[in-house]
Amino acid sequence: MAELPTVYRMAFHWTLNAADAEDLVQETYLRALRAEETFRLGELGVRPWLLRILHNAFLTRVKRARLEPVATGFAEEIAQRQAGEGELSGQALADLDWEQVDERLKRAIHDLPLTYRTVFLLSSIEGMKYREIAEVLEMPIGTVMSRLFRARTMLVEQLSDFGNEIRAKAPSDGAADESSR
Amino acid sequence: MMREVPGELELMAYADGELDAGALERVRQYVAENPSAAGKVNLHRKLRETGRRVVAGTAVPAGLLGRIEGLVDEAASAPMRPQRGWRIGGWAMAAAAVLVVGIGSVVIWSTLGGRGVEVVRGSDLVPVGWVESASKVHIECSKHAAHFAPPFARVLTELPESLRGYLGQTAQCPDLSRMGYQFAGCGPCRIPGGKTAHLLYRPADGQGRGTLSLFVQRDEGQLKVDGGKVYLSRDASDGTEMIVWREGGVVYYLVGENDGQLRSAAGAMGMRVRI
Repeated sequence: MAELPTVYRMAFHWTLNAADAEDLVQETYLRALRAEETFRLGELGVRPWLLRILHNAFLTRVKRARLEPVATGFAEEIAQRQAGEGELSGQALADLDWEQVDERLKRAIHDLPLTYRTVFLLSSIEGMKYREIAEVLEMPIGTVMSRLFRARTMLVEQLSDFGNEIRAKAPSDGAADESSR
Repeated sequence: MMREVPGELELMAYADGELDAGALERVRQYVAENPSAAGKVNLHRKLRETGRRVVAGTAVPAGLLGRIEGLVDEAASAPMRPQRGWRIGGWAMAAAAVLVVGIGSVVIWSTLGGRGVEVVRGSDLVPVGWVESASKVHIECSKHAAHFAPPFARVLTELPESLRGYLGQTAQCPDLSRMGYQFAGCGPCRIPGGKTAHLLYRPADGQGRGTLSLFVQRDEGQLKVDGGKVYLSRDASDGTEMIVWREGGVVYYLVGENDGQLRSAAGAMGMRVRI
C-alpha cells in the first residue's frame, strides 16, 4: 500500500485521465497480488516491480487501443542518434523565472511522446536511478539515458518558446517605463 | 595532456548524480572550468526539480484507495478460500420490513420470510454518513470493470460459496432478473463497517437505467439494527436512499442511482416498500 501514491501518480501522468489511471492501478494490483508468490524482493524491490507491472499493463492497453505507437527499434535508433547529435541549450531560458513555469512545464510534460514522458517521469518525479528505470522498462541503461536526454531537450524547446514570449513582452514593458519617466 | 571532453549524456549523468567515481572527478573539473557546461548541468537539474514539483500533488482518490485495500485484504484472507468446486448456493432471500431513516425519522415495514415486522420510528440506527459513503463507492466502483474481476465467482449461483472464502461467511446473492437486471460481477471493496464484497448489477438490455450495488459484510455488530427487519435509510443532504438488513451473520447494503430503481429492486427481492 505504501507504493500506491507512486503507482497512481505514474498511471495518471501516463494515461492523462483519472478514470483510466484508476483502472490501470487496479489492474496492476490485481496482477501483483496474483504474482505475489513468485516475487522475490531482492531481485527488484517492491516499487520497481509494481511499476514494471503497471508499465506492462499500460503498454498492453496502448497497443490494444492503438492510441500511440510504442517505440520500435527504428524509432529508438533515431532517438539515440538525436541524443548523440543533439545539444541541450538553455540560452533561451536564461531569463526564465522557474517559479513561473509550473503550468507551462506540466503541459509540456504531458505533451511529450509517451516513450519520453515515461522515462522523464520515472527519473524526475519518482527520483529513480537510470539502473532502476532500465529494470522497470526492461531496456538497456543507454536507451534510458538517450530517452531522458531527448525528453529534456523537448521540454527545453517548449519552455524556450515560453521564454521568448516573455522576452518579447519585456521590452515593451521597459519602453513603457522609459516613456513614463 | 588533453583532457577528454564530456559528451551531452555524460553531462546529464553528472547532473543526475549517476557518474561513477572515475568519471565524476573528470567531469566535475570540466564543468568547473566551462560555464557553458555548467549551464547545461544546471538546466538538467532545474528540469528535474521543477518537473518533480509540478506533478507532485497527484493524490490517490479515496474510492481507489478503498478498492485497493479491499484487494489486499482479500489476498491476505486467501488461505481461507476453498480451492475449487464451490457448492451452488441458492438465493433464498425472504422479504422484509423496510424502515425509512430520514433525517432522524423512520417509517416503513414489510415482511421478511413471511414474518411480520414491526415499524420502527425515530431511529438513527444507520448513520447517515454511511449512506452517502456507500452511494459514492457505488458510483465510483461501477465505472471500473476491473474491480469486478476474479477471484470471485462470475456466476451468481456460485457466488455464495465464493463469498464464504472472502468474508468467512456465506451470503445470499439476489437474482434481479425479474426487474431486468443481471449480475455483472463481484469485487473486494470497502465501505464503512468493514471488509466488504461488492456485487454489481446492470440492466440486462444495456439501457441507461443505472447500476445497482449490493454491499455485503460479515455481521460483526457494526450496525445496531434488528435481524429480520429491513431498513430504508436516507442521506440527509441529497435524499439518496439505501436499503439495509442483516441476516444469517451478514449485513447487506443495497444502493442504486435513484429511488424508483431501488424500490424495484426491493420488489424483485420480495420486499414491499411503503413510504
